[in-house]
Amino acid sequence: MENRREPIDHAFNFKKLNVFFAVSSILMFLFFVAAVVDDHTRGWKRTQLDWRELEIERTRAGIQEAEAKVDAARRAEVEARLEEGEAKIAQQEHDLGAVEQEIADLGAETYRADQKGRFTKATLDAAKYVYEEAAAHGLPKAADLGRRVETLKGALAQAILDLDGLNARAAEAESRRSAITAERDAARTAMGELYVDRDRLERKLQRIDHNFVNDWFRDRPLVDFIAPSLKVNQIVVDDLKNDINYLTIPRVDRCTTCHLGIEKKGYEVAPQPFRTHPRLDVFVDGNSPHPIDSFGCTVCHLGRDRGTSFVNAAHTPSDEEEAKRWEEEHGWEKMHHWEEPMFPSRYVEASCAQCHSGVVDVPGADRLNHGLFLIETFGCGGCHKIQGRENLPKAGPSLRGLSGKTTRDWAFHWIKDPKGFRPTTRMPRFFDLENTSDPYYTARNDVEARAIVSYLFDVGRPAALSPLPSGLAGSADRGKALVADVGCRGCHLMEGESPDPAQRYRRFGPALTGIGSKTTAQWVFNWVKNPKRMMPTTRMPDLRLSDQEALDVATYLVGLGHPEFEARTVPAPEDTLRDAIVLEYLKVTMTDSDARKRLAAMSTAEREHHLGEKLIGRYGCFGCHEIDGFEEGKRIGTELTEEGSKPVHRFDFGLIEMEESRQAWIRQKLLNPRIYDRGKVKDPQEKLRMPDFGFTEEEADAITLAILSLRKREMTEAKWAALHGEEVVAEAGWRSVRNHNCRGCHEIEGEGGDLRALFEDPGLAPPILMGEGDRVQAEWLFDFLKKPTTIRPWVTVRMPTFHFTDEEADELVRYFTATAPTGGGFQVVPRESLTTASVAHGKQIFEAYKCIQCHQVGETTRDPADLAPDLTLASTRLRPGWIGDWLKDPQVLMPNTRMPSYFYSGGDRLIDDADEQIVDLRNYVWTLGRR
Amino acid sequence: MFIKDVINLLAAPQWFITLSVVVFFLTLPIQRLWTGRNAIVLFLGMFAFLFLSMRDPNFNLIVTKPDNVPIVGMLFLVAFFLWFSLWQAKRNDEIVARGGDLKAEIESNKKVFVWPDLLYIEFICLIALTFVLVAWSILIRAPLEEPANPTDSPNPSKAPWYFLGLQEMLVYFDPWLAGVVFPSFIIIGLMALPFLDKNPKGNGYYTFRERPFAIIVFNFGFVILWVLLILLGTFLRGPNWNFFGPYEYWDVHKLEPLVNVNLSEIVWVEWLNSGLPSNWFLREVWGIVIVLGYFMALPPLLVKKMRFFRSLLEQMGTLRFYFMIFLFLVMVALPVKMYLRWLINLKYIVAIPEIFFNI
Repeated sequence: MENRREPIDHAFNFKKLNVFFAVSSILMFLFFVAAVVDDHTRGWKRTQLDWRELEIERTRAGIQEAEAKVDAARRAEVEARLEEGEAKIAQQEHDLGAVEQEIADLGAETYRADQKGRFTKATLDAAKYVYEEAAAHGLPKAADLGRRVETLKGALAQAILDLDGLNARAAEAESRRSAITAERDAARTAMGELYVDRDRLERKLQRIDHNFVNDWFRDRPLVDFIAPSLKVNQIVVDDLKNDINYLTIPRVDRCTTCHLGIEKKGYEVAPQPFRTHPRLDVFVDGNSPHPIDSFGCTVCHLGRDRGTSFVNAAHTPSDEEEAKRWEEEHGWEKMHHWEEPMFPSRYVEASCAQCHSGVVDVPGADRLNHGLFLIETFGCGGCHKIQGRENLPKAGPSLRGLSGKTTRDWAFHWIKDPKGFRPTTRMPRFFDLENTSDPYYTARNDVEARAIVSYLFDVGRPAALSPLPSGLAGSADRGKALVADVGCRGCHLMEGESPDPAQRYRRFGPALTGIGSKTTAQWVFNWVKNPKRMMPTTRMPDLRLSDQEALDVATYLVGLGHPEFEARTVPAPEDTLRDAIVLEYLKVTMTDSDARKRLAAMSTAEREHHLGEKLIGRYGCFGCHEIDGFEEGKRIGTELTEEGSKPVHRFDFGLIEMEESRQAWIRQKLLNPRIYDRGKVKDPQEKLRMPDFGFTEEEADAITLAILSLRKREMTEAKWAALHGEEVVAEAGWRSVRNHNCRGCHEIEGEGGDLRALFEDPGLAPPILMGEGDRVQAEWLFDFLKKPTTIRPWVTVRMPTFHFTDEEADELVRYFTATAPTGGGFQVVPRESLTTASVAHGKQIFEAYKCIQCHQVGETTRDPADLAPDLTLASTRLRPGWIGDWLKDPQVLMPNTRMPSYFYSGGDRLIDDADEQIVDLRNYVWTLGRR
Repeated sequence: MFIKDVINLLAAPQWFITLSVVVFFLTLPIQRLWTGRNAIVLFLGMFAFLFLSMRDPNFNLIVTKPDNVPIVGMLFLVAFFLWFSLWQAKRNDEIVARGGDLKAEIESNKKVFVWPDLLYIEFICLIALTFVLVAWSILIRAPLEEPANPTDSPNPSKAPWYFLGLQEMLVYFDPWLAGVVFPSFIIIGLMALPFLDKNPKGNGYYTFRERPFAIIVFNFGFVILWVLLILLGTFLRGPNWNFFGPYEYWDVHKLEPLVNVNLSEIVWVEWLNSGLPSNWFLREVWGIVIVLGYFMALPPLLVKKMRFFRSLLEQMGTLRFYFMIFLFLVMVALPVKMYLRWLINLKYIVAIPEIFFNI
């Protein structure tokens, strides 16, 4: 501010100041306008405008379509009628005019009369009041007032009469008019009906089409409170809450602000974000189990519910390519300050477990179920506690009998490299992984493996082996045939078979390869004769093999070798290194000098044993294997019960540069468990110890999905899909079915039955268990499960003896009953139905339809696929009501069965006395077994 | 880049503070540095540094964080006002030096009308400020972070900017001293100033030569010990309150060895080769003596040895002088302790954990 001598003696040069004033005022105005514009410009408005364009286009197309659809003939007809009506009106134009004038005049008179009546009534009411008051107080003018009331009453009555008269005349005039215009009006209505769709669409178009009000007025700042066409849409889901740490707030899902077509059918190929939600029958639609109004969007998809922009809704791209595209098109960047970003679309099923938990399989969530299945199969729960899945059977065999089964050398090489012996094994690899593969660790790993083997062989308590039966010779060919046919393949892959991802139930037990390099014929013989004696915790059942059969099987299996594995040599023991490692472990709990003293006091065997014990404790072998000395072993891994809710920065990414998200971390961990040690300097005891399972990318994805589903569940309590009544029973049975791998042989509820695919002739395969609870009697089923009998002698596959306890068998029977379409239950054949005449008639029908052709007993030359069970079993085995239903329409109860249907005469009509025939036939069959 | 590494190294507290103090003492009294032309060079230099550094992503991230933008502005403002006052002081000192009459020569002593001289200017400022605020609010979004999580403290956890100086002091001092004692003395000192400062010169006009001690001491306390530490705390302190150069990436895992020793340990263990005495008074006697000596022996020593302090004592009188010296020594104790930490890794001069008191 330069001072200049001015006449008025001011402190400042005002000419200059005026410039400053002008400039800053203009700037302020501009920035104010900018602020309004900035506030008003929202990304979602653009999206809604795009939607509007789409809708206008579609509506226009719809209108054209609707017009085209109108039947030309009908329209011509209606138009003709319309013309006729118009013509008639034209003829009587003069009369019509007169009538309409009359109606108009009457209208005016009616209005006046009505008003007069109302005013009269009002005056009357007031007069009544005044009179009543006067009368009550005994005033002299009461009498006059009373007379006035009477007068007014009369006037009102008259007014009503007048009005009625006018109304009557108006009605009469109206009817005269409609007589003239009736035809035309009817034609108009008919035309309206013809074009009802088009008119609806036109009205819609009017609402949304481009016009002055829509484009320039409705959404402007300040006036958009009146009737905006662009507005934020939200779904408030009160009972599904968001946990923001100090508070829980209802979800307010604003997704539908941009996702405008999500609920509407017909937008399946529209550009995003307008596309319809997939599977509308299950999600989002008002009639589906998950209607959008009660669930919202974010309870499944996560993300920031209240966000209204592309970025701050916390969208997550599915892959790198999508990320790039989003960055270009939407300026996408990761929303840093929201802890639950949206799931990439391939992980959405993880949310199903929020409400559907505590079940073996979540209905409809195939990938999630696969992931959970893998977690169970690979025994993740052995190291990682997952609440609700703690009491599953251990994934690996008990090692108590190890010393009786195989050699130390074999065990050594197995522990070092399981897949080197059996590529399909589930046992993971512990040694020579990324963080333990330098020369020091290579030597150390050998020492550790040797020590573990020492411990296992020291504490082993194998069952005593019975000698091979003398006087019998085993045949490998017969053995192979047996293994192929008697049912082993329901749970085991055979030598030469490569695993088929579609057949996951046949990998329940280990693949039958290389057995000769592992164990002896005597051991195998003892095993297949009675697995539970050898290993009480095994899930392998007893196939009731005879001594000869067992010997054949043993001979065959032991003939399968793995020469390369056998040829591996065990390196020489490194005692110094071993002692150093023992010292290392001792120093964890005592001082250096005490540790040395202790070490010196141990013999070589004791040192090996001690080290082995420590290592088993470190690597957590007891999580999968029953090992003596580790009965109370605590799981060594991180608890995964709420892993899906763990804050991202609690995951240790180490020095690896990668996407910072839960799913990326978990997936990477599964594919290379030791990767987060890369570049780090760590003592041996600090190193990561999760073993490598050799998951494929697809398996890693499925397991990642399953782990993401393990989340804190408090906020969705209101919508938990609890099991009711029969469902609880069914669940317990489901668990049993899973644990015993019934689906390896049987197709149950549409899935499984892997073994069946191996038989060319379906007649030789184990039966499909569909609606079993309706089909068989519960008591029979119970007895069968406890002690299987032969129902179909031509089938080589045997139902094994699982040695179920009573409770276990009961659970399975109740499962089948609970899942049967009509719920099973006790049925009898009514005594009055079982007459001699009925049975005799039934016998006639039986012979007429030649049932015995397929339902044969004894030796037969018939193709096994056509054979059917012995009908003498029917009365003890089957439920009588089911027999009737089966006879009527077998395809409904068992699709693709070969049982013919006798009672339909073409199409859907039953022959005349079908019901009676069925009952009689059933009664006959019922008596068959009772001879 | 070499220059970035150099700047990163020089930004370490020990160098940063030392350089600032040196520059401060050298330049403050040299008034010809405060002319308009030199100021333009200074400000252009600051802008240039800012704009060139913005190309580095780490620098960019810190400086453009909405919370930190005002601090950058504050840096420029403090520099501006410091320069302005010193420039005016220089001008006034020159007038006085040639014997002129200040009152007559300074325009600001004249009387003017409220309207338009006062109000018009204020109105323009109002409008300008409004548009700056509106522009700011449009261009820089309000900083909103994730929902607060009690199990998840942010790292670094920083105090509001006006307390960052105190938070920095926590590195060198016990929390009792850094959080309670020193702030109290700051407040007491500020309250006491009008009573301590009896120099009649400089009333209503800028001057340097007529009150050098006051200006240097106050600016040392304000610019160096307050504003500079705020800048240090905003831009150069990262996760775990570790030091990070302006171009350095804020790595949460960075670990610096903490190897600080107490004075008692230095004397007893390192020098005298004996164990620490169990009695705390005996153990800390060295530190206690030093601290008492600092506050009680040093002032009389200063008076005896330095003419400047003698003259101050004469001017101010005993009570004022010794009170002022006490406050002065408290203020100087801060950089003294900082240097003791940097030079000999000194943790505490007096360490008495038994009564939760450490100096």
